[in-house]
Amino acid sequence: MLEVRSLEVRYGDFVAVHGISLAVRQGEAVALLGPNGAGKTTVLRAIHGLVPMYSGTLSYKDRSLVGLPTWERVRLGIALVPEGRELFGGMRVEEHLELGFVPGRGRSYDSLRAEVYELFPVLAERRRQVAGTLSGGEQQMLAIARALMSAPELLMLDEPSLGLAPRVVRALYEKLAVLRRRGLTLIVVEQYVHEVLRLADRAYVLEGGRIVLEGGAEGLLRDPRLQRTYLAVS
Amino acid sequence: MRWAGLAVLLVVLVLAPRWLGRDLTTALLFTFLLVVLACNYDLVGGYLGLYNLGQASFFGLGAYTTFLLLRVPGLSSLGSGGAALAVLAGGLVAAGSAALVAYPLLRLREASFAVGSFGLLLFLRVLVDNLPGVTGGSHGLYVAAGHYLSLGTAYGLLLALAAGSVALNWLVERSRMGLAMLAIRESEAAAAAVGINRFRVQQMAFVLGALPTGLAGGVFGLHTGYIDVSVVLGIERSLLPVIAAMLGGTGSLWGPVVGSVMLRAIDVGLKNYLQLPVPSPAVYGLVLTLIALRMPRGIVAHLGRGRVQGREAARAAPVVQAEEVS
Amino acid sequence: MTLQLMTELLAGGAVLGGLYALMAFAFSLVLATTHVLNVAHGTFMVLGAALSTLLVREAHLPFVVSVALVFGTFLLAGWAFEEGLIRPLQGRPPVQVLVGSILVTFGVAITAEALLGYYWARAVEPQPIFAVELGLPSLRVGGVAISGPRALALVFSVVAVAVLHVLLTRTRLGQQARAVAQNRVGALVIGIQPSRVARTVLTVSVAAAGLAGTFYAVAVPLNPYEGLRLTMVAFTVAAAGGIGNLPGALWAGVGLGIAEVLTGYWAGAVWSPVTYLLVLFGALLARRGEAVRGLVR
Repeated sequence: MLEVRSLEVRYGDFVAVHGISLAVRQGEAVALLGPNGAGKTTVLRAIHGLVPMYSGTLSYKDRSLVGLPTWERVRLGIALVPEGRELFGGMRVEEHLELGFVPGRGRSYDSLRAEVYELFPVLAERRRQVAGTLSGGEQQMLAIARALMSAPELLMLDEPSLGLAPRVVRALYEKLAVLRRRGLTLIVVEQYVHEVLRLADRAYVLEGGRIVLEGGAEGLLRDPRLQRTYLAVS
Repeated sequence: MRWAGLAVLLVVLVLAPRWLGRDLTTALLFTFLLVVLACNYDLVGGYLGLYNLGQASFFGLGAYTTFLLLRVPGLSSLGSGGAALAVLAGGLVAAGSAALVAYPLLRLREASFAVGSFGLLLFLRVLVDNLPGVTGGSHGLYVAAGHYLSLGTAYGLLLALAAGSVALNWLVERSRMGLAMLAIRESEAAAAAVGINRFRVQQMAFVLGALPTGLAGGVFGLHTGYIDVSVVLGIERSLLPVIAAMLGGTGSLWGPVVGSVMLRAIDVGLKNYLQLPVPSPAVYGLVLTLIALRMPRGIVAHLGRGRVQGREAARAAPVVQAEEVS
Repeated sequence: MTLQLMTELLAGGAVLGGLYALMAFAFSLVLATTHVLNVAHGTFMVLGAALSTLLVREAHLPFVVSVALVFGTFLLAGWAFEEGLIRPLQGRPPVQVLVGSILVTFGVAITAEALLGYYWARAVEPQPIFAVELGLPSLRVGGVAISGPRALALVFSVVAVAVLHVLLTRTRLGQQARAVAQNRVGALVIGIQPSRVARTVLTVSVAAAGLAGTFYAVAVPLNPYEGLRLTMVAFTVAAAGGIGNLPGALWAGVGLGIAEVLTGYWAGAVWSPVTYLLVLFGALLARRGEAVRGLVR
């Protein structure tokens, strides 16, 4: 469904991602792991068109995305839940859903909203509340809900567990498991290795802008090299 | 070689009034005046990246101080010595005011600074307009006949101030202070981390940039013999230096000079030779818009794209990162 | 001071304040959504006043027709302004957009002002004054006289602010504009096109400026060189109310209008500009963290 080949991204002279290749099949859940500064976020931003690619190819459903602006990628069914959520602090929950809705994706606003509220009942309760007044977990749910309103086929999440209590993280991953069972393709960037590897089929481990390890999620959980990558930094 | 060229240029300019008529000499005098203001502006606007839209405040302060002091009988009776003292005092008042306004103004950044500095100019204009007892208000002030500066004298003094302003920027650029200014412009946090006192450096640049402008205000006022708000505190007076520096290339030694010469040439050409029915501010405005759109680094860098090297290239072109592809 | 005089001063201040609020509302929205500081905002008002004067006084068109013509013309002008002069700046980093926009729009303001003053003086009248005289009678409300033109200007600014508010909260593009103003990255991520939002916001703000200028000229005459002053007032009100904070702009505008009228009454009209300059410095220094810098992330 998504194919990235020899992706290189630079910020000025700094090379953030050195020729990464990865592929994601329809319906799959893939984790991108690695320490801070490994380039995981940059990979997601490049797939979403938020940073320009320096070189490499990028295709989605056999169609090249190179040069397409973000809004066109959203229309093709790619959605990103960004790091730090990036909500509109002064706007209500319901307004976020209205803004997230993208016409022309084959789903009506009402049916998408009903589905989102069913998945996150707490948001339905808070629909008139301003985003800035929600708790951290609720804000993360809102960020996901906002992304789901574009009826995506590929959903990318950047550190959804950041700053949340372990109990909230577990609840959040249960919701992601539901989305995955419904057939949504997922790419999740995480430092919280155990939760995400239980969700994912496969994982890539990044370090210094390169892929250093890849494989099935179950195997990686037991792989001593993964332990080392994390112990080396923490 | 370079020094020899500059020396020849200076000698030619000193002697120029002997061969040129009154009109062209006056045109050169106005060019020197703009060079002074543009170089002084650029010390803060270019090297520090603080867009001071109120440079004319210092010009006006210099001129009004000079005129008011020459009304004091003791000073007035000293003849040309008195006038020289009054002009010097004008420069000092301008520099002192710069040191003072630095306290509130340097708390601002970017657009706030630009608007704040422009606001100061407007404030000064309102004060001068509304205190007719002191400043003559809208009737302006005239200078006594004995203190009037002839074209030749004013030409020489403004040439000296222009050369001095370029030299000042050259010296600052090569000093420790210049290095500190560059560091502050690139990153205040990084500059602070290596122990640079941001405020002191910026305040100093402000003062250095106000002194020649203030002196030029006095000299220019004594040459025209009359000052009022629109002559010495005009909005155009304040914006032209910015436009000249941007046109030539801001944050570089010769940029403001080149820009000033070009602007004046355009003005003289329009008025005297083409006689187009277009008011000159309209042309300045158009030039400003076009530079900002087409060559944000100025004409010097634009034409010599490949040739500008090293330190100067780094100054002229802050690192540009693509924000977002949209 | 009698109660009647006080009421009349407050009414005068409210008229001015309503127009200020409208100016600042549009100006601030542009700054918050696009990082464009439109120095020519006041100049567009002056141009609006000039065009209405031409249509009403010189061409003897009915006022309503001239308002419609001004609106249409300024929608087009706003579109062209964005397309030709602002669009090329997009894609530079936010700080460069801000600085570039100040220079570009300053150039536009100076050029337009100079051409307008020069040719109006040659073609229409030697001392250009833009005033739209409608011959409206004064209104008497509870023993207090309010001049008809001023009442009309006040009604206009209230309606215009209300319309802008509805556009911002009830239409999709308006909602997107608020989203971009609040969080540019968040807006980009969910597929909002900042360039489309920028075009709409700038076009609407220029049209609003043209109309504001028309009604300003109904209440108070303008001359060709007041554009920069009006922009400074718009900036002052926006900075005092908080950039992108629209209710804030409303209160700050009305407050400034009243303060200016009262200063004019007590100290003389020549001192009234001091009011806004003092408010400007106060707002800049008090809000230096957020006023403009906070926008640029």
